Amino acid sequence: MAVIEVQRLQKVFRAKTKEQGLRGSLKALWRPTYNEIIAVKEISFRVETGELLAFIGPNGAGKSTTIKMLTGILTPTAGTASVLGMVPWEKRRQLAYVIGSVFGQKSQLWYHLPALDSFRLLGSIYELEGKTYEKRLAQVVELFELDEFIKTPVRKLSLGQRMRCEIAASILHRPKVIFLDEPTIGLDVVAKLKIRELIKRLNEEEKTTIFLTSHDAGDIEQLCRRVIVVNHGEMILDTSTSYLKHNYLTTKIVNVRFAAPCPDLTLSQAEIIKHTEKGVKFRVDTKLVSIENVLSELFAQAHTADISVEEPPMEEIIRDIYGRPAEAGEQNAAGWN
Amino acid sequence: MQLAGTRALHKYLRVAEVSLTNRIVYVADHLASSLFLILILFIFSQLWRTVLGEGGEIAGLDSTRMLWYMLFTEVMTLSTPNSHRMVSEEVKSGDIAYKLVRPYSYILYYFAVHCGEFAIRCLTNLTIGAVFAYFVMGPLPVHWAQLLWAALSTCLAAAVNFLMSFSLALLAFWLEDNRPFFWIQNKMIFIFGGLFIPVEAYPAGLRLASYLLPLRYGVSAPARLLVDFNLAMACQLLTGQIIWTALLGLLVWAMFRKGVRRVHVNGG
Repeated sequence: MAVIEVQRLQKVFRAKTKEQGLRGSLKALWRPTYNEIIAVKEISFRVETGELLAFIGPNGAGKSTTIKMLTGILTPTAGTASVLGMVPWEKRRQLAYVIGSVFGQKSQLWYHLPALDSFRLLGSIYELEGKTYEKRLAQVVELFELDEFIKTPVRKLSLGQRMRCEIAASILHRPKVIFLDEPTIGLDVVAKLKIRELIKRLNEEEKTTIFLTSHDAGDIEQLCRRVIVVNHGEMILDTSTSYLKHNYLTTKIVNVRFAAPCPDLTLSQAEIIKHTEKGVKFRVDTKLVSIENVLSELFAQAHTADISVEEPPMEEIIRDIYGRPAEAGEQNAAGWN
Repeated sequence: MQLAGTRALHKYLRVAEVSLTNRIVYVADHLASSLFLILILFIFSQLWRTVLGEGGEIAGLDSTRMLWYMLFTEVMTLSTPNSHRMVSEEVKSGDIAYKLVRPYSYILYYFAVHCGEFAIRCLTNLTIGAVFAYFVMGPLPVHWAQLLWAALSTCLAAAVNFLMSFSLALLAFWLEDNRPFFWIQNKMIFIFGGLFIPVEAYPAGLRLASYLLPLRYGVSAPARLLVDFNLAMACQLLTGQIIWTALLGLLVWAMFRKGVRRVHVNGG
């Protein structure tokens, strides 16, 4: 059963424009001119119950605008959408009781108080009665492993701990759908892994439908079964994560720190991006060569102190998608129309 | 229906409670504000003693009552929170959008925040100020019924102050910089609010202006009832407060409705 249904949803913003200089400013006062910006362009998709969907794209792609429309904050310029059978912008207040949302770095916790106080407040806001709240709180604390720091003022928590509290706060009322807008933004590698693990558990154990936006390819690769890619407001790909992984997430960027200087390094099967006395950064296309071979070549020439592997930036993936023709088995954006 | 009402009331009471708890963190700020209050009261105790001496009066108040009057007006002003600044910032930055996804009324949420913070500030300022005034100028004879009227008037004054500031904060929907309006409001409180001298002592024109504006109902109404109570004045002041609460409430509701439409259309 579909919990989210979107049909040709469009959002156009009007932005004031002004010519340069004083004359331009005066003219804009007298006769303002506007530019239309299409933030979301006729997108259509369905999300089924219990799905963990990634909605990805670079900055300004229209991800947050879409979430804002699906949570009822924004009214679309055209098209229709239904979340749990409700039109979000018409039933915003009723919808709020059955959905949850976390918007990147916009906190819903009281900064100087322990997260527990904010949880209690949210319990009242979502009208959870005494025992129901206590029972639910215990579940959430266990699920998100908050015991250690739930009574610590939020200002003293690390960003990763705070994000755990943010997500926990947004599921206290057992939402059927949760919108996570960039939940791993600004987190270090360890905190990111923890958040990903918790999101996965939330989806598996509570069967919560998760609509996740991110511009971190790692979030998608490790969490989601399905991915929608948007760029300039348009859906450019709607496919399985495994398809995306095997076809577009094949490039890995490897950072190596040397234990001893290695000025004459050569890697025949990788593209060196940067090479200094202290380390090297190179790109490997795992579809063409085995990363094992590249690393063997590296180890033969240099003593390494540290190695990290990065996913390619979202902009690169988008460029790659545009650069290739759609293949069989790939559900492109037009598929749902 | 009744259950829904109780739940809604419980929701906003909890917001007020959290706001009050949050404010306790700023104990040092409270003490600084209370020290400022004591300094002001000390200066004015000397001033009223010199100006009024024995038997002198302003609007029927001798030097002791004048100081107590000023204590109550200052407590009202110093205890009024700056939550409107937060609202103003949220409107300007578009962060208001993120508050709209919660199941509560944005206006009532901030009213509850305002009440919680006002309660703790008022309590500390009043306690410290009253101890000072008692030792410097002597006691203020007050009947318990007077206290009830004054308590009711204080609640209404807090509502009037909140609505005045909130309406100015909402101007951020249309104006890039609404700070000058807060500046003007602050200065007008001195004169039309009757912060230092009861407005009854003003010349006719100025007095009429004070009666017609909401400032007096937010600043000096409770003070007037505490230092010089009479039933007619109590009824007049409370009626004024109720009317202004209703009028400003309507204004805030209309402004918010119109402003929030911009958020729904433009995203902030």
